[in-house]
Amino acid sequence: MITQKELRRTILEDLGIGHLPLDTQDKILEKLGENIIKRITLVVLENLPEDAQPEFDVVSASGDEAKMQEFLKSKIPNVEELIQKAIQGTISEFKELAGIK
Amino acid sequence: MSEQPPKKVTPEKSKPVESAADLAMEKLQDRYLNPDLSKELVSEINIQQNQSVELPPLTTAEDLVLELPQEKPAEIADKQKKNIDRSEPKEVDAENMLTKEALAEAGKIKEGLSPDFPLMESEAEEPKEKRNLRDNIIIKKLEKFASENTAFDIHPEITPYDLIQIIEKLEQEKEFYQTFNTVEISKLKNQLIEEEKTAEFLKAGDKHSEKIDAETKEKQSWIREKAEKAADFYKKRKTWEKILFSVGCVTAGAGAAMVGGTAGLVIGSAAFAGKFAQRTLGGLATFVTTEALLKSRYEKATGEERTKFAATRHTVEAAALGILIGSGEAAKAVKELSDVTGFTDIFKTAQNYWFPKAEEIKLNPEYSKVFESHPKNIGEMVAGQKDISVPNTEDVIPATGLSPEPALSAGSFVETAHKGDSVWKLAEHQLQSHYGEKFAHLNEAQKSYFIDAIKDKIAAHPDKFGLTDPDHIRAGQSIDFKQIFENKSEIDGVLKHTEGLSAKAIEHITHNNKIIGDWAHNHANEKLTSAKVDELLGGKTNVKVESLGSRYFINEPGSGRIMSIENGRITYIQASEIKPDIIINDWLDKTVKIDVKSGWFGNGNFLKNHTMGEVLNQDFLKWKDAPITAPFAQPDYGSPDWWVIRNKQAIQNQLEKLLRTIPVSERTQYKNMKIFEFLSLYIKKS
Repeated sequence: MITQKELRRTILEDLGIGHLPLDTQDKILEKLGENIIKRITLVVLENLPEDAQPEFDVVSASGDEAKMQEFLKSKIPNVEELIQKAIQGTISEFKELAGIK
Repeated sequence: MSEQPPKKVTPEKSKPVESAADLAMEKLQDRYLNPDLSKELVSEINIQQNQSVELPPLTTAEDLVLELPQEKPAEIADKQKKNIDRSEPKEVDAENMLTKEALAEAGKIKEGLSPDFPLMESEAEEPKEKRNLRDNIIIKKLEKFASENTAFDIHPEITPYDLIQIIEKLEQEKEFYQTFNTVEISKLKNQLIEEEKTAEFLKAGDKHSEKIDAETKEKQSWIREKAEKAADFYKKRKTWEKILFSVGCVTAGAGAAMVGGTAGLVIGSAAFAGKFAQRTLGGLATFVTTEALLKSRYEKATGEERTKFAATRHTVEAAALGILIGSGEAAKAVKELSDVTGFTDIFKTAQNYWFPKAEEIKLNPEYSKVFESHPKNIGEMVAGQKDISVPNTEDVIPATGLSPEPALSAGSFVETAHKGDSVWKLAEHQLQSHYGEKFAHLNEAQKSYFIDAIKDKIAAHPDKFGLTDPDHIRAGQSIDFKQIFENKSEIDGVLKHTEGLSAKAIEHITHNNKIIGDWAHNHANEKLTSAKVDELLGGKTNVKVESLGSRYFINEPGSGRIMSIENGRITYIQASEIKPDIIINDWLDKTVKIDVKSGWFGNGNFLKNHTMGEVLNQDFLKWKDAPITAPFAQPDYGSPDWWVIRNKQAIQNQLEKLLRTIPVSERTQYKNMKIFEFLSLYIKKS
């Protein structure tokens, strides 16, 4: 079973930023999150059929995340896989740009 | 004296030039330099002498030094001769001989003479000139050496003292630069490398962002707008929220590969990633909005800043709403991540918002009420179950921000007393709960009558309700009113009677109160006593009268409420509210902004066991768990210890303020006084 320390180290090392100062790690993580959320939004919305866009606006305005979840699943059957791939792809891109192997 | 043939010196084969400079330098080196530097200096001088020269038949080093100019040139010549003769060998005190004056004399360089000027074969013939030449060579060599190795200029008038200083300085500089080269430069180099790497990483993040922005621009406006909004939403989040999300995503993206085992499979699943991404952010958004709404409502309703407890309660409620929208899975995931990742600083803060600690719940019964009001939600949130209904925001937003009222559900007969509660107050809650609008429409006198009737039933048989003294109920003690309210017809009858109270009866109650109030107003210098009340009302009443300053408290045993009269103005308050500790707690709550009900100040023991001096001491603010190696370390922001220190700081500040209102000469008398006593005095005085 992986320990807390090991997992923390693994996450930071996986990103290739384990050796950097803590505040730099934070900055990089913040930026990475921003890129991930943008990429997720793009990926999900470009897979949403155009005729479903007005309904998306309505569900979105309700602020009901559960409803949103159901809505997206009904319109994009593989939405969860898309999100996961978007996350993985964004992390890989970042590592590539930062020269992390 | 015997003539010696000149010595031919070849640097490759024989000893390096034994000039006056070499010998004098050797003296200096022996006395002042370390071996390494000596070697360097000798080597440097030897380089200068890297040629064959004719040397006069010189004496020993000691002799040479002795030969250096003394008081008079004529005597020098005599001494030189004597030394060369060696007829009278004598003890040499080189240290004394190498005087400032001697080398000052030597420093008088003869312009135009080359250091490489061949030494005269016969020193006896021209001892002075030879001496001067040697001196000149010493100075020139040192000058050259110094100019090449230091930033100092050798002045022609340089003294031996100066030379020694230069050499010492050289030694120090050499040592410094050696250290600097090996340690400091290496550090700087590593720092530069790190900074470059950091800049590269940050640059990579920016480039990545630009790349995604470029992709976004190519999308249709509808998608573009949403993506930009998502980015804006993210940017507005607090740092810990952003990092939380990022770490969650990284873990979700890597999953089993990173976490391992079943947990890794779950976390790494597409379903988890999707839910985490959507729900965490959705939950945070709702949390932030709701928390702000609760704060605003509280402050609007009370006109006061929130107490710590109110803020905490709102946070828990807001978090419940925020995280529960969707399902508890994201919340559970966040907790799991918190448990296993070790990102304690970030997750502790988040978790403090989302999961109040068990000990805090124990200490603060109000927490449990929050839980009770959303039993399924919170429980299922932690358990990670799905399909949780979304609570209505309005249901959990308190009407006022005062100490939270129990969220009584209709039909509940059990009341648990909290600090400051009385049988009267619990009975009032019961009537509010079971008779709602009907009770609310009663006037004050009628309400008093109705509550009294319920209270009287308990006071008549306190043991049936688990009480020994109806005037004293402990925090945490429960009263089951069922046996009273199950006889609905009887209580309805009391209500009917209350509503039917004649105007005369109401007037009578009001009249009695007025008599007492008026008397107190008109007899400000006379003490109001129970006997006086009996006298005023024309019979035995069993009332107890207490005073605090100009304020009278008239208490009818068992009623749980007290009539307060101050300057003829009558108000009704709960019995417990006139106790000094309650007054002090009120001061702590309103002035110091400390939540006395949930904090460690509220139990009274702290105030009664600690002196002013202890609290005003700097050590009072020290974190007890600070590491030995970091005595000034502070606990994590928002942690229980952080709150304790914050509260300590607040109470210390307020006590200091109070103390400053007292003349300096009188302040010391309060040093050993218990805080409770001090505050009691202060409040009475004020």
